[in-house]
Amino acid sequence: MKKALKIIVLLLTLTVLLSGCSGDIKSLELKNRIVIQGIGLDKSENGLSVSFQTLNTDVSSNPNSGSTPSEVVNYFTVESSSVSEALDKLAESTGMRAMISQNRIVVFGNELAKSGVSAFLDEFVRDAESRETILLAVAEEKAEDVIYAKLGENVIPARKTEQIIESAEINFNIAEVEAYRFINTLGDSALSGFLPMLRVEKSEEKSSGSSGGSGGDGSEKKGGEKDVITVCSTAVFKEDKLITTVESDITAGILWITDRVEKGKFAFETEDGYNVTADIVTSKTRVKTDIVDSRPRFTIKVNCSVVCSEINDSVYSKKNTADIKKISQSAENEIKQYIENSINKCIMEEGADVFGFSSRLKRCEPSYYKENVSDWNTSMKQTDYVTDISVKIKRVGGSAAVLNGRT
Amino acid sequence: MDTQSKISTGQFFSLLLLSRLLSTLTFMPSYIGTINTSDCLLAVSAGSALIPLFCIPVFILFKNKQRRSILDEAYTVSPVFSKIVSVIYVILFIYYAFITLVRMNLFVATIVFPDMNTSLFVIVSVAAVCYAASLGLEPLGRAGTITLALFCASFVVILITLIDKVDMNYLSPVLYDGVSSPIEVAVSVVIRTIEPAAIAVLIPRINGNLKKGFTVWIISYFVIVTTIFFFLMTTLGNSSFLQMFPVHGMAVLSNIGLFERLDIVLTGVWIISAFIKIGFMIYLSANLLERSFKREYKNYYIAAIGLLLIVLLYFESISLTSFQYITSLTARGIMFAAVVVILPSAVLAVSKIKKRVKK
Repeated sequence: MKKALKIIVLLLTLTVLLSGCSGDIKSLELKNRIVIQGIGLDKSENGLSVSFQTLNTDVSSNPNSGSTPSEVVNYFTVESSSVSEALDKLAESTGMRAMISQNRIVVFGNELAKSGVSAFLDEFVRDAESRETILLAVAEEKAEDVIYAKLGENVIPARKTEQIIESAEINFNIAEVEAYRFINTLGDSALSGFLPMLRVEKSEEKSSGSSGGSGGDGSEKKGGEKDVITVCSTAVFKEDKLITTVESDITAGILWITDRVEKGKFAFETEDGYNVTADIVTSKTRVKTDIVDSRPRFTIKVNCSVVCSEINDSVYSKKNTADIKKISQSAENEIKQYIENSINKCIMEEGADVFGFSSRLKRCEPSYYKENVSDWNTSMKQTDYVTDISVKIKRVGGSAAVLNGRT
Repeated sequence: MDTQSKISTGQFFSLLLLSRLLSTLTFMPSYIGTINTSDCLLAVSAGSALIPLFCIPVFILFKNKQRRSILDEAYTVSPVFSKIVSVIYVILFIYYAFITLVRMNLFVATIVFPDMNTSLFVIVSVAAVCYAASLGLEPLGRAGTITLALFCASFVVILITLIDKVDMNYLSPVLYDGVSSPIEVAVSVVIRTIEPAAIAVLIPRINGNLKKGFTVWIISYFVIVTTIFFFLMTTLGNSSFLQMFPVHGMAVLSNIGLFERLDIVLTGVWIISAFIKIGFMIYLSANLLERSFKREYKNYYIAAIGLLLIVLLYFESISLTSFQYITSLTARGIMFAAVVVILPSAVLAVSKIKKRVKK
C-alpha cells in the first residue's frame, strides 16, 4: 500500500513537472506559435523596421489537406524601436506568440549597418530562445529585400540563405560568421569584424543577366519568375559600423590568414602558361608574432595540400615531377597573392584589422601592445607582414594527362 | 532517516565532486568584475588548487584514528558547545541548499521555461528533494555517483564536439590588467567550496581511505574545472562574460552531425545535479539537528527545512537585487571563513586545550 502510494505520488509529480502539462500551454502549442525563420533589420524614419520571414503553419500550406497550397512562408514588417518590441508587435498582429528558436539568420540593412549594429544584437544574446550561433549577414541594400526574397515553391528562403552562407565550408571565399564570433570583435576597439553581404536579384533583373557573387540560389517560381540570393561580397566593420565591402578574392585572403579555409577550389596560371584548378584538401595557417627593429612582424605560414582537379593543357602533355613542382609554386604564389591583396585592402587602405593581428600582438607581445595600442590604427600599417606559403600537390587526379577540349 | 549507515569514500567524494562542480557549472560572470579570458582561466585553476590550504582542520581530523567528527570534538568540550557548533553548521548547509535552489530557479526561469511561472516546479522539486534526503546518505551517495558519471560523460561529448571551435586567439595575455581581478576570482572559487564542512561533519560515516579520497577529489576537480574553463574561454572568448550562464552558452555551440543544441543534455544533468546537491545539504542539516536534538523528529526536520527553503525563495524571487544580496560573494565569504575555516579550527584548538588541562 505504501509502495503504491509512493508510485502515485511520483507519477503525479512527473505529470506536474512535464512542462507541456503546466502553465499557459495553449499559447505554447506549435499551431499557436509563429515560427520565425529569418529576421531583417533596417533603419526607418521611426527607428527600426524589422522584417520577419515565418513558417506558414496554416492548413492550406499542407499538401495533404487537399486545399491549394499557398506559400510555405509568410512575410511581415513591423516598425518598432527594438527587436523585442517588434516581436511583440508581430504577436499582436498575428495573434500568435513568436518563436525565435528556429530563426536561421539575422540580416542587417546596409544603411543600418553603416550607422552601427551593436545595439541591435542584444536581443539575440539576451533571449534564451535565441542561439549565439545564429548566422549574421548584411544586405547589399535593404534587409527586407533578403527576407522577402522568393526563391520558389516549397523553398524556405531563410533556410536556403543559411545554406548558401554555410557553403563556406566548401567555398573559401564566403565568410560564415556566427553572432558570438562577431560580438567578440566588437569588444575590442583594435579589431574589426566582417560579415557576408547578400545580394538579391529580383526576377525581372535575373531574366536580363546572370548572377554574380560567390554563391547563390534561384529556383523557379510560378510563371517562371525567380529571385536569386548570392553572397556578393564581404562587409567590413570598424567598431560596429560598416565601412567598406571587399570582393571575394579579398575574402579568401581574410579566411586564409584567419585559418578558416577548409575546402574549395582555386584556379591559377602556371609559369608555363596553362591554367590549373586546385582542390583544397587541407589547409592550416599559423601566424608567428615577433618584434623586429621595434616593429611588429607577423609571419603568416600557410601549409596547404591540394589535388589538381583540372589542368588546362594539351591532353597529351603528361606532367612530370618538375611540372608538378612548378604547379605547386604557382599555387603558392596564388595564395600569397590572396593574402597580400587582403592585407593591402583591409589594413593599408581601410585600417581595419579583420585578421586579429592586434589580438595576436596582445597575446605574444603584451608590453609592446600596451604601449602602442592607442596608435594601432597607424602602427598596423607600418607593420611587416611576411608570408610563407607551402603547397603540396597530393594527387593530380585519375589521369596524368588533361582532357582539353577533346570529345 | 538513517543516521548510522556508512558510505564508501568513492561515493562520498563523488557526491562532493558533483556538489562542487555544480557551483562551477552555475558560474555567473555577474559576480566578478572585468577580467581577461586567460586571467579567468588562471584564476579558476589557481583557486581550485588553493582549496586544500583551507582544509587544514579537515586534515587534522583525518589524523585521528578514531574518526571523530568536528561535532565529536566539540562534544569533548561540552554538550552545549557541540549543539551550538551543530546549529552553525546547519545554518551553513541550509544557506547553501538555498543558494543552489535560488540558482536553479534562476536558471530554469531564464533558460528552460522563460515564459512560465516556475513556482510549481520549485515546490515539486523541493518536495522530491526532501523525499530523497529522507532516504539517507547511502542512497544519495549512489545517486551522486551515477549523476557524476552522467555529468562527466555529457561534458566529454560536449567538449569533444567543441574542439574545432577552439580559437587560441581568444586568450588574452596573462595578468595583462594586473592581479586584482584574478585574485578576486580565485578567492571566489575558494569561498564557494563548502564541501570541507561536510567532510568535517561526516567523517565517522565514511568507510575507506580519506586522504586518498580527498586527494582524488581535489585533483579531479582541478582537472575538470580547468578543462571546462579552457574550452569556455577559447570557444566563446569575451562573449562568455556577456552571458548569465556562460557554461550553458558554451554547450549551445556544440553539435554532432545533425544533432544540434547539446545544451539540452547539459540542462538535464544540471537539474539532476542540483537536485542531488540540495538533497545532500538538507540531509546534512537534518542529520545534525537529529544528532544534537530529538531523534524522533528526524523527518519533521527535513520537512521544516524544505518549507523554509520555499518561503525564503518566495521572498528572494521578488527581485534580482535580493538575489544579488543573498548570493553575494561577501555573504558567502563570511560563511566560508566562519564555518569552514575558523569554527573547526577553534573547536579543535579548544578541544586540544581541554584535553591537555584534563591530563
